[in-house]
Amino acid sequence: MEQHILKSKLSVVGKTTEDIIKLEGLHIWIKENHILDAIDVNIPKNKITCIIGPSGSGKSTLIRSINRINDDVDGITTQGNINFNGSSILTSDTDIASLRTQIGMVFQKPCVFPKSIKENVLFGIRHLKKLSKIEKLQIVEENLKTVSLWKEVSHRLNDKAISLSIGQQQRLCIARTLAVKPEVILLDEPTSSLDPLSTRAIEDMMVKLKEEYTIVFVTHNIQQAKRIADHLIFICDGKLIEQGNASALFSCPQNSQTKAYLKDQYCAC
Amino acid sequence: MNRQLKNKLFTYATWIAVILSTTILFFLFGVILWNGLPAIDFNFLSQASSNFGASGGIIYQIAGSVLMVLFSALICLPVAIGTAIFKSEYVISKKLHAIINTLIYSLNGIPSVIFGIFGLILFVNILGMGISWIVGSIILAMMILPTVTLSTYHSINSIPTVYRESSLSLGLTKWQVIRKVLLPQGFSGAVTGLLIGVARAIGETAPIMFIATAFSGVAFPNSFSEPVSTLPTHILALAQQATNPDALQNAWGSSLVLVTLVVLFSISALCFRLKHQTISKR
Repeated sequence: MEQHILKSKLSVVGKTTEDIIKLEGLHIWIKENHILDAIDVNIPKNKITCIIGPSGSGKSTLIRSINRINDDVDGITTQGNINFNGSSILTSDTDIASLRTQIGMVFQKPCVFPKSIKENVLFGIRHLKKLSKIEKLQIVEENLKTVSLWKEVSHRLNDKAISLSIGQQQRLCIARTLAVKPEVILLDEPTSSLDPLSTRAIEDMMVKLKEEYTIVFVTHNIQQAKRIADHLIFICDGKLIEQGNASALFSCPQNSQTKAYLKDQYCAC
Repeated sequence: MNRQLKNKLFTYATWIAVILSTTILFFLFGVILWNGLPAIDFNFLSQASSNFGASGGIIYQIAGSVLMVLFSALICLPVAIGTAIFKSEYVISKKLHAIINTLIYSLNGIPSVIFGIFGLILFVNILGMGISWIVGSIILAMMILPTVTLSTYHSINSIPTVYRESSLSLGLTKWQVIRKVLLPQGFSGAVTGLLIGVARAIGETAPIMFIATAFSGVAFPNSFSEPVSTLPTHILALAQQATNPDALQNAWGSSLVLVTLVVLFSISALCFRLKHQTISKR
């Protein structure tokens, strides 16, 4: 596995990468609290970008602003700009529903709907376009295979999704997001409620998925970031401390705060 | 007094309270059953009343009551669901929530006779709808609106936020989320609230006695604009001739039928609630 990761990391070295998402001077206040302070980051296409930082540093707020799921938070004020494929997504005439079909999201706690496994995979896509029976089956099979769930559930697609284990439920949630065919997948600590085995399964899946998708992954687990990240963003207390190529940042961080955090998981900001 | 003793006394006090309240309930049920059962037979349940209720049955009273609460439920349901969705999904500010809560509780606190007077002035006099059962249904719908709204609101609002966010993240619009995720889950709350509301509405006398009912001589209505006779107003009329033992006997019988209907609605509400647990309870 390690070798596989190393190979895929090596293969991207040398290629020029374009940034699919750019955050420019992003400020977010929730009521009087200044949650994010002038964040300038870029998210490279077809890479895994990990956002790390101590709890309460604003990681979740940052990732949740990229698909504007934060919009409904009471008393939120956003300033600055977020560019996705070259155009701003923070304008008042942005079609948020269609933006979210391009930027999907998986949450910390797996959330399956009280329906069958099959219905759960189709939940997003079937509200976006009409599908024939065959198309439906193809989508279900294709996406469950991508998340390596097909073998485990192919004989009981009509069972309630709630009957799956938590790790399987989280993979089902990822399959559901993939079915919509987004360009970017945001994952907000998707493995923090899972066992180590399911965690590894999801990490391996991410490495495979980046061929087709851009992945933004929030984690508080530095080892996990080390295993999967191509690009690393370190924020602390709402401020961007450092960002850059993951292996470069892990081997020699420029900032003393980054150094301390990567070593001791402690940040004095 | 030591702590142990205080603790024991407090436990006993709560027990006494429980026993007292259940005794009151069972005493009332007992008296109504004891006095009402001798009046009830097939004829009493299937015939029209005659001689101002002193003889004959109560079939039209039962039909009138059921018809009126059924329509009040139909009128109330869409308004209650709409209000509940608005309060749960569109109101973000806590201040506005507090204002809406106060308004809902105020509506719930209005004495029932005021609803009756309001209906008489607005619908019967100003709008000229006459004394008719549909006016009674509208007024009863207004009365049970707070109960149904709050019950629906609580069952929609108890669905964890992550379900809303997961659906939104898949590109569903807010309306799709409401229709596909929240309403199927919140509907059980609406039906439960509706059954509780209807259980209350069917026993109301004051709001309907001068706008929707006639005390005797009515059959099943042929149109929206006719009065009906209902169980509570029938009991009221019979109680006024309490010196006649036949009338009194029928008053007890009608009371038993009314209480049975109320209990039926309440029990179905309970069963419905237990059967359709929302996502949050799993």
